[in-house]
Amino acid sequence: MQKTNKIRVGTAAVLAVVLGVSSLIGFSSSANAAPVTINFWSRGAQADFIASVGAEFNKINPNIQVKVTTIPDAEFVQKLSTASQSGSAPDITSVDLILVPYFAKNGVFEDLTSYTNGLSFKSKLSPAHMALGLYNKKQYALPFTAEASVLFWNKDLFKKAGLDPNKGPKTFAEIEAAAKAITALGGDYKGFYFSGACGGCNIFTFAPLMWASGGDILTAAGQPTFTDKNVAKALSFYNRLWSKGYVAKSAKTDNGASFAAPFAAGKTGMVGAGAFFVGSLKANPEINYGVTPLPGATGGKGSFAGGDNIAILKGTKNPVEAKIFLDWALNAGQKFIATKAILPIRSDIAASDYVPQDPRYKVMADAMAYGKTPYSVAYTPLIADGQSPWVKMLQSAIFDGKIAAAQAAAQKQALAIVKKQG
Amino acid sequence: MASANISVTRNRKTSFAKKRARAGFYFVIPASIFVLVFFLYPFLNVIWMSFQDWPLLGERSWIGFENYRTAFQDIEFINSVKFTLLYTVIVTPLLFFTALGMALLIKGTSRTTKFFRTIFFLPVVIGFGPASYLWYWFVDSRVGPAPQFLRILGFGDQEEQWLGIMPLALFVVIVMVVWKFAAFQMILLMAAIQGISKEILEAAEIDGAKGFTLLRTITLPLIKRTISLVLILSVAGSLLAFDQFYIITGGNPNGSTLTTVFNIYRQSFLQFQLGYGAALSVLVAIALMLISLIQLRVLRGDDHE
Repeated sequence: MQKTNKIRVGTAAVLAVVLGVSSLIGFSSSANAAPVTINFWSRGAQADFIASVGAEFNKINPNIQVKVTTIPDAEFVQKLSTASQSGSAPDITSVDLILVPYFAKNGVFEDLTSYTNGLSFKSKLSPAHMALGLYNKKQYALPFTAEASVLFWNKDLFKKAGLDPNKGPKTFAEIEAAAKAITALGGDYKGFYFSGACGGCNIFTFAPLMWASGGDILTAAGQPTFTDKNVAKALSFYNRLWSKGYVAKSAKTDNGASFAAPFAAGKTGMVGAGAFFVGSLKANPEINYGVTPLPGATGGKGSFAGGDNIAILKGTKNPVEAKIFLDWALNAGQKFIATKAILPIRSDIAASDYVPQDPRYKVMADAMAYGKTPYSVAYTPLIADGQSPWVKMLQSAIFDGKIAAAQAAAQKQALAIVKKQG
Repeated sequence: MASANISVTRNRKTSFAKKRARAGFYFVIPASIFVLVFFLYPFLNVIWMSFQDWPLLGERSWIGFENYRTAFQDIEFINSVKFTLLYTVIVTPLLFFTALGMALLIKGTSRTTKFFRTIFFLPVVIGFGPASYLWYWFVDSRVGPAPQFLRILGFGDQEEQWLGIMPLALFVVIVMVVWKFAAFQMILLMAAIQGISKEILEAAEIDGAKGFTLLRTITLPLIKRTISLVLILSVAGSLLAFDQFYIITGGNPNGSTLTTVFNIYRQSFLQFQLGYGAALSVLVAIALMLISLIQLRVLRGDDHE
């Protein structure tokens, strides 16, 4: 009796499996269960390598297929916000770390606190990324890719201008002197370049100059301090570079379209850029360059500790699979991105897989450690908007020279925004 | 007998008329549904949103007319309205007279006029986005052909970005819009001119009208309806300008080329205030309706004379 029961149960189970599989066969060519597809979003800045990350994961995990979608940087906030409200959000997303507080505050991401506490390598994770992923003492996002800003200098141009090609500038005065000498070469040669109408570019390459000078535009609690006198030092430094003609005129209207590209053309002496730029410069092997920390007015060093965090979206239908991908992204995935010239977010993997590739990578990896990232739930309105207080301050201080007035106007506008956004 | 017969025909007539009316009603249903779903519903929704503090993400709350009160004290909004009006006032006549000139040049049916008609019309078929990017590149001080050309002709080094200088940045956009849209208006005007009957023109010519007098006293009055259509389209389009400024100037230098719609986009998606953006949209919609209404009145009023 018992035996027959067992047989019956067994037959039923087999039948169920057969039925289940046959119903799935329609969707998959193999006899295995159909792979679960999870949607993964990333932003334009990562377009060069992110598809290969998805492909690598899919190769190793045939049961889970990650579908990568790249959203243009300028539309990322709107797209993810509206998608999360209309139920069409991805399962998991890579997100510019600086935007995480805004999404975390608004309950878009899954709480990963207990998962994080269980990670054996938690102490090796980039502190800047971890800090930005934290909201109300809960971890909503984990590090994914790192990006630090440093100063690039063209060694050949330094030599041509009679400067020591092996010594990167260490103060504002040294940058200015070098920029003057290189501009004096005449023709198309210019000492320095930056994208003057781009908020994000300048938080990446200009803000470190003011941080290293002891100034800041936001307190740790996100309150605006645009009138800081050390911010003025950095503004007047850029204003001098501009008004003395050491910077190409296109800087004023550059909304980030060129960013560091003029440096890659070999006629620009110095530019602030990130680890990604080393990859771009590989296409121009004739450019002989060095990297050094972005300095303060009289020395010191500053960097924007940037890159992306990774977060699981609240309400995902595939939480298990999303977590498997997250786990991979923090382990094998980090070794994989290191092969794509992307700075890993784990200090152990950065040391073993990234830094040995190129001596200049060490400057980047170090920069991640002393780098800083502003924490604000109002990053987009304060910084990224083309008419934000940040961009308006840069425009009128650097290009019109009205530094104090620009700072005061920006402070007023920023206070109103912070009051509204909380 | 006869009267009975008449009444039958009448009945038949009315039932036929009823059927026709009903058929007409059915024919309008799809369009009405379209208007309801894609215009009326969203528009009412926007009005509803405009009375709330409605962030991109997070809690919403009813605040009555607060958004509207803010709008009238918001210097950025007021400046954007001023700029949009300035742009409309400049671009509308410029577009119209260019289009009229082109239409008069190519109204014939010879091979050459057909050729030029096609050439003139080419920019119209390019999307607005690509066309804007084309011009963004075209006037770039480093790689653009326009400054390069002036350099060769000896007009200085052209190192300064045109888009960084105020009247010049607006000028670039205006030239681009005329280049892009004049031919569209040209086609409408040309069709209207071709529709004027030969007899009228011949009669006028016999009476001694020619050249400019013929144009002013005969041609233009006869295509008044098309002119009003062209002007209303042009004014509405200019007041809603967005793409060309978003791409070419980004609202710069120093926010001086920020149009109202660009500002609405910013307030909604970069400043995260969807409710405020909705209130500004409602204000713009009301202004646009009023302006179009006045335009229709003025142009139709002339028709009766």
